[in-house]
Parts: sequence; C-alpha cells; structure tokens
Amino acid sequence: MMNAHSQSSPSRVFIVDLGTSNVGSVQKMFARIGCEPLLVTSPSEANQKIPVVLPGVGHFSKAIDALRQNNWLDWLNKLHANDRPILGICLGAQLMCDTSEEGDGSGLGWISTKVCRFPEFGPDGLKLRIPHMAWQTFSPPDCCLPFAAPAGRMYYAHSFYIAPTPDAAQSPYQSEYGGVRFAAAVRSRNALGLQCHPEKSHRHGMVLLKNWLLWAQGLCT
Amino acid sequence: MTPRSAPYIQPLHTPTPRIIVALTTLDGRLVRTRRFASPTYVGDPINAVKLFSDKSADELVLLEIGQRPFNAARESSIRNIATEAFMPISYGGGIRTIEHVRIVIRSGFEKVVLNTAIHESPALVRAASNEFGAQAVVGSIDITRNWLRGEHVRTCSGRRPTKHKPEDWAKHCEEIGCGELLLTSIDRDGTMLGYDTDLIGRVAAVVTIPVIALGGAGSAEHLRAALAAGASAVAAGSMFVFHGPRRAVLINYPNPELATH
Repeated sequence: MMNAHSQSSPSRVFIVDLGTSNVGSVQKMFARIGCEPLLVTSPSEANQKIPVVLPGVGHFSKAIDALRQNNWLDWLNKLHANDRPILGICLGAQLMCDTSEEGDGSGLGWISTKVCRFPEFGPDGLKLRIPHMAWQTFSPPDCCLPFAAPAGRMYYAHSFYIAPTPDAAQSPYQSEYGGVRFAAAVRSRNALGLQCHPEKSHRHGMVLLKNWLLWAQGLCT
Repeated sequence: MTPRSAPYIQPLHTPTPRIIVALTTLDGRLVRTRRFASPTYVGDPINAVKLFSDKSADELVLLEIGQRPFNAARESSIRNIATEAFMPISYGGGIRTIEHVRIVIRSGFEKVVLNTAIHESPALVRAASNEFGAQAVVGSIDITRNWLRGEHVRTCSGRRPTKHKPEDWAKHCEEIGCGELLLTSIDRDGTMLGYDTDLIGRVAAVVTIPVIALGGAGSAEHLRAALAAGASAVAAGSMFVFHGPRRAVLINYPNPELATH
C-alpha cells in the first residue's frame, strides 16, 4: 500500500512549523527541488514514514517550549530512536543538543554537547562581530555525511554555535569563525543537523537538500 | 558508512565579505534614487530579484520607500518577490507591529529592516529580536549632513530629521536588539562617488554587531575602501541595477572576489 502510494505521488517532507521559523524559505526550496513540502503544526498531522525537517530561526528555549506545548518532544524522540531521518537547520540543529546558553531549558539531548554564545573576542584577541553572518566554504569529505555533499559555499547567520563533541561521530564536520571552532554538521542515528542555511544557499544548498532527501527517502521505504 | 575517528575541520580561506544588492521600491515599483530624491523607474522588482538570484548574489535587501501603510497588497507583493530568492533576503518599509514582522519572516525573508520603527517603538525591536533572534533584525540608519544640524540621523526614508548623532544611535540600536546595522549616507545615495568611509569607521568602532555600508558605491575600489574602513559587508544599488529597454531591468553583479582583490 505504502509503496504504491509513494510511487503515485511526488515525494514529501514534513516541515515542523513552530510559528517562529523561516518555514517559508525552507518550503520554497523543497518545492523547487520537486518535492511536496507539508507544514505541520502538531505531530497528529504527521506520520513517521516521511522525512522530517526541523527548521529554525529564533530562541533556543522558546523553541523547545513550543515543541513541548505542541506535543512534539515525545514524537521526535521516538522518531530519532526508530532511526528515522530528521534534518535540523540552524536552530533546528542546535535543538538536538543537551543545553544552550540561550535560555535555561534543556534540548532534545541527542547530541552530547552544549550550544554556546560566540565570545566577544576570539582566541587571537580580535573582536568578533556577532552574529556570524557570512558565506563559508562547505565541502565535507564523503565520510562526514551519509550522502554526497557538493563542494561550495553555504550561508551562515548565527550568534550561538554548537561546541564540537568529544565523539567525532557526533560532530564529524567542523568549521570556525574568528578562531572559534564549531560543529557545522552534527549527527546522531539518522538525525542530521546543519548550522548553515542550505535553503538560502543557491544551487549548492539545493543540491545538498536534494541529496539529503534522496537518502532520507531510502530510509523511509 | 564508517564513522571517522577524527572530525574533519574545514580549512577556510580568506573570508569573502558579503556584497549585498540593495533594491529600492516606491509603491512596489523598482526605482533608483539620488540623495533619497528624484526616484526614476527602473523595472519590476520580481524580475530583478530573480536575476540576482540566478547570478548567485550573496544577499539582497529590499527597501520600500513609499508612504502607504503595510497592508494586504504589500504582503502579497513581497511574498511574490521572496519566491524568486534562493539567497538571504531582507525587507524594510512600513513595518510597525510584531505582526508585520511575522508576516515578512513567514513570507520567506530572513531579516526585517527597521528604521522609523526604532524611533517610534524600541519595544518592537526588542520583541522581534526575542522572537526571531538578533540575526533577523537589521537596524537601518540614514545619515545626512547639513549646515543647520550638522551630521544627524533621519527617519521616514529621509523625510524627517532627528537630533541623534550616528554613533549614539548605532549604540542604541545594538542595545535594543538589532543584530546588524545598515548604515546609509543619504548624501552619497545614487551618486556612485564612493562611500562615506569616515562615517563607516566611526560607527563600526562603537558597535560589536556587523555594519553594512550603503550609499555611494560605484566601483570595486569603493567596496574595498568601505571594508577597509570597518564595514563587515557592502551594499549597493545603482552600481548593480540599470534601466534597460522595454521596461526590463539590467543587472550587473560582481564576482565575489572583487571586494577582496
């Protein structure tokens, strides 16, 4: 039944809509790559057989509260435990971590690390302009992500960063701003978090999302 | 897939500063201005945004300078514009309430640009920054100099003078939650004679958030001068947008290395 259904309709993704995210941009980019992006405000509208995107701009603790109020926490934890594909973007990736300096609540706790605010001065004593807003090289080698990522530039816009984990498998791809190392990609089971904004990174971001989607669909059949 | 035993750390080359396209609309029509006056029609903003997106522009700022209030028509027009942008895009013009901010962000814009609202309602800036993060709130500061008032901040697309000095106002914007400043020299707008680098240097020195320079760019040399003066990013309008035949927009967007080499 499920197979027949997925063959007859275009591929779909669920985009978790917390009301404060840039869901418009994410939705637009997924539509552009030829899939059907569905905004969902509560897990009762979603099902566990379709890849899930957790987008984000906003405030860490407020986003976690919004997830809790809409009954997303248990649902997402179950999805994660069942090895289902989840893509976190920017704040969505940070939410996968234990805690954040932005607010006092705890996160989903899948990635054993903390989200920190960029310091006023980098290790070399130079003043850091915060937020970090820049296009940065994003060219992870093949073994960092479970699918191929093309070499190119991605757009970053963040004041907080994910501190690299002691376990290399959880933060396999790292970058830096002003000498401060941060996790550019985090991974736990089939949940993947990206600090950058592929939905705003032209063709390069489009190819990355397409490759993620193909990989994610493979896990959902 | 075998997990790596060590993380891969991305080697970074010299960061390439953002080169931002600043488009001005008057009641939804794309215009070019000179010293914030004499708007001339250039074309259709949707088409222009699409062209810059196709050229992989780093970022785009859309500024509406008309006096009409932010209404449903504005909402649908900016939503159509955002549809064409696969790059970071900001919108400013007539945003007065948190509901306006939500509409803009939900339409697919990353950032809102606030100017008059900072003067009228600092609480709105704080609320937007808390809800969407400081990186989503751009404080726009328009500066001019004249014999009567000296160098001062103006609001309402340059129509209304204030008593504020640029440095004090920049610090105020940072304190109330702006994550970035768009610093415009009204006197240089549309002239292509170069940025007011002295102003850029003084403002960048007193804040820790990124400062985007706008007003006066006409050449790669000008972009480099603004960055050397302390700007984190450079924006330009006239340098990138031309009026073509048959109501078409012609654009010119530089190679990203232009500003650094």
